Amino acid sequence: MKIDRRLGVISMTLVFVNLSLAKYLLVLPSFIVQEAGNSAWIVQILKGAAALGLFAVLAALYKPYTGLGLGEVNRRALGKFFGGVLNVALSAVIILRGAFLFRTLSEALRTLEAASASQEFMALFILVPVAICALKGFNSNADISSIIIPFTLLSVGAMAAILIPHFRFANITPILGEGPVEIVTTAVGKFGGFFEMIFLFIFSRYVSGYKTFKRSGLFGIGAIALITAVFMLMYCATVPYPASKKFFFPLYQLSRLIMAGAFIQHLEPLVVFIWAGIVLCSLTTIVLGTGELLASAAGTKDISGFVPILVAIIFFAGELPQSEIVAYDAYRTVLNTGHYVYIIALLFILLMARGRKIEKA
Amino acid sequence: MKRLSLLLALTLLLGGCGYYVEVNEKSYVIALGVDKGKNDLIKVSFLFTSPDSGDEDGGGEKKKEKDIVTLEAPTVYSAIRLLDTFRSKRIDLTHTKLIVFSRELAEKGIEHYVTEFVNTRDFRPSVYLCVSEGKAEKFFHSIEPKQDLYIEKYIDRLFGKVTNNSVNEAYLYYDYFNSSPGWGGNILPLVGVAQKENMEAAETRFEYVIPDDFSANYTAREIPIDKEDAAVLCGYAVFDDKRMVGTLGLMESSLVRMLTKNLPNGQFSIYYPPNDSYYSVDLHQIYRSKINVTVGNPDIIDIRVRIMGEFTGVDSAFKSEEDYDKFLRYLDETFSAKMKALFDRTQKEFRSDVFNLGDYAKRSFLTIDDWKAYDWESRYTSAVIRPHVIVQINDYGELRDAPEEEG
Repeated sequence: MKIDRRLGVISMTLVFVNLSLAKYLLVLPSFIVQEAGNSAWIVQILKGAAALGLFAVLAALYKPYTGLGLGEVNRRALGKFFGGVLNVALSAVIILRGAFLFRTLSEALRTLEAASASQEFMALFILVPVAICALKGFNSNADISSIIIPFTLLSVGAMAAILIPHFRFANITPILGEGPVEIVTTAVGKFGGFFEMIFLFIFSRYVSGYKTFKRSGLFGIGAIALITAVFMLMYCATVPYPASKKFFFPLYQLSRLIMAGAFIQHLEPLVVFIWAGIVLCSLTTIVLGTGELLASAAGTKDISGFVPILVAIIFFAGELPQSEIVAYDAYRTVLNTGHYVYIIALLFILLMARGRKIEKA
Repeated sequence: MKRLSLLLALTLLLGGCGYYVEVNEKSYVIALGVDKGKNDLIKVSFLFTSPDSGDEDGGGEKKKEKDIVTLEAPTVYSAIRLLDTFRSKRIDLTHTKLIVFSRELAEKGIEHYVTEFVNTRDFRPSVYLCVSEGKAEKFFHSIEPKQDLYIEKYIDRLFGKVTNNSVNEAYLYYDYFNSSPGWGGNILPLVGVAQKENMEAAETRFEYVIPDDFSANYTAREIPIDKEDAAVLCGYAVFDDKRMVGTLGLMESSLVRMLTKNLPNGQFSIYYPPNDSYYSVDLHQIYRSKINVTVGNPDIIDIRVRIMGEFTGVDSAFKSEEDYDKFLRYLDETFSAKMKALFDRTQKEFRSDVFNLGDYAKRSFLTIDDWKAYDWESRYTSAVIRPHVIVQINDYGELRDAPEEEG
C-alpha cells in the first residue's frame, strides 16, 4: 500500500492504543478479574512492566529493519517460501483472534442496542465501515484513531470522576486479592500478554525512523498498561469482590451506575458509541496488519486486494461459534493458547535475520 | 475507490427503522411487588403508569384509579409472560422505580430475585429496593399520592428525599454489590401500611414514661397516624447475609445515618431529665464517622461520630456554661448509649455484621484466603464495639462553621 506520509510518535502510539483498547478495555478486565479477583489492577501493572522490557529487547534487535515491516523481514530471514508460509500462518492467527473478538463485541452491541436484531445485521454495521476504512489505507486509520482515542479517554476519565463517590477502599482490600501466586500466575501465564505489540513491527515501515518506532512502542504499551490498570482499579474499587467477577463487560456495568442528578444518567448509549468507535479502528488495524503480512507473502506492496477477502473471512470465522457464550469461550481459549509462541517466534526471526545479515532497510 | 466507498457507506442506511417500538405501544411498570404465594409460587404485583393522567403542571384529566395487577407465578419473569396474555401493550420495566419484597419472602431470602434483576438490562440500576412489613400488594393499594399527580413521581420523591427515617441509597445495584456472599449483612428500607389503631397503642408501647424521639422508635407499620391503611416508609429491614432477621425503627435509622455520614438536617426532640424539660435541637453531620478495627482477641471496634447542631428554640434553663456543657455531655452519653444498644442488637439479636464493619478489618489482611480464614462473621458477635458520639451545639450568634477536625 502506498505510504502517504510517515507517522510520528503520537500517531503511531494512538494507532497502537486504539488497536489494544478493544481487547484491554472491553473484554480483558472481566477475564482478569475472574482469575485474580480485585487485585486485577496489579496484574495489569505487572504485565505492562514485563511487556515494556520485552519490547525494548525486541526493538533493539529490530533496529536495522525498521523501514521494512515484519512481513518483509520474515521473507528475507527465512527465504521467500518459508517466510511466506510464516506470514500466512501469522495472518491466520491474527485474523482468528480478530474474528472471535469481533463476534464477541458485535453480539454484545446487538444485546445492548437492538436485542431483537440478528447478529449478522450488527456485523454488517461494523464490517462495512471497517472495509471502507481499510481501503482508505493506514494513514486514514491513524487519523481516525487520533480523533477517537482522545474522546475515548475523555469519556472514561469523566466516568471515573462521576463514579468517585462510589469508590470504596474496602473493595480493593485485602490488597493482594486471591494472593501473590494467583497474581503472578495470571500475569505470566494467561491472556497473551501484549500480543498486539507484534503490530508495531508489522507497521514499522510506516513510521519515520527507529526512534519513532521505539518511542511509539514504549509509549503505546505504557499507555495501555496505565489506562487498563486505572480502569481495573476503578472497577474493583466500585464493585466489591466477588460480585465483580460476575459481569462480562465492566465498562458497560460502570456506565449503568452513573447517576449524577437527573440529567447525567442513562449514559450507556454514549459508551456503546465509544465502544463501536474503538472496535471499528481496532478491526481496521487488524485487517491492515494482516493485509501487510499477506502482501509481503505475495511479494507485493498493495494490500487493497486483500481487504474485502479479509473482511469476509472475519465475518465468516466470527460466525463459526454457535452462540455468544461459545464465541466468548472461544476468544478466551484463543487468548490463552500458545501466547508465548508469537514472542519466541519473533525473537527467533530477529536473531536469524541478524545472523544471516540480511539487507538492512 | 471513492464510488466503492460511497456505495458501501450507503449500505449503513439499509437498517431503517426495522426494530422500532412506539412509546404508546408499551405498558410501563412503575413498581413491582413480590409476595409469597401458595406452595412455592410467588405473588407478583405490578403497579402501572396511567398514561392519560394529564399534565402535572395543571390541566389535563383527573387522576385515574391505580392500575395494579397481581399474578401468581414461579418467577417474576414468568409473571410478566402471564401479563402478556391479557395486556394489549408490551410490558416495559425500564422505568420501574421500586421493587418491594414482603417480609415473609425476605425472611426466606431474596438473593436469587435480586440476582435475576441485576442480570437483566430491563431494570435500571437506580431502582429502589425495599421490604414491606406486610403484603407488598397491600402497600401498593394503600399508596395515595395526595401531593403528586403521578404515582411514579410520588415514589421517586418519597424514596429520593433525604430524611432521618430511612436511606435514599437503597438502589438495586448498590445493594446487590454490598450484599455479596461472605461479606456481611445488609439493610434495606422498610415500608408498611400503618393503621388507625396505632394511635391508641402509641401511649402504652414505649419503655419511657415521657416519649421523646429516643423512645419513639417506630417501624413503618407502627407509625401512629389518624388514617386507615396509610402507606409509610420508615426504618430498615436487617439481613443476616441473605435472609431478613429483624427490623430497625425510626430512631435507629437516624443512628444508621450517622454511621454513614448521611444524617440530614433534622430536628430531634430530646427529653433532659435534670431540667425535666424538652429541648428541640437541629442536628446535622459534617464529618464522616471514623471507624477503626483492631483485629485480635477480641476484635476491638472504635467508632467516633461527630454531630453538629443548634437549638431551634431559646431556652433560659441553662444559667451557666457548666449547665450547658452538662447538657452536651448528656447528649453525647445518650447518643453513644443508643448506638451501643444498636450494635448490641446486631451482635446478639441479628448475629450479623449489619453495617459491614468487616470492611475495616479486611485492611489488616493481605489475601482473601487469610481474610476468609479469619471468619469475621462469627468473630463479629464477640467483638468489643466502642461507639463514641460527640455532639456540638452552636449557640445563638455563633458561626455555624465546624471547628477544626481533631487528628
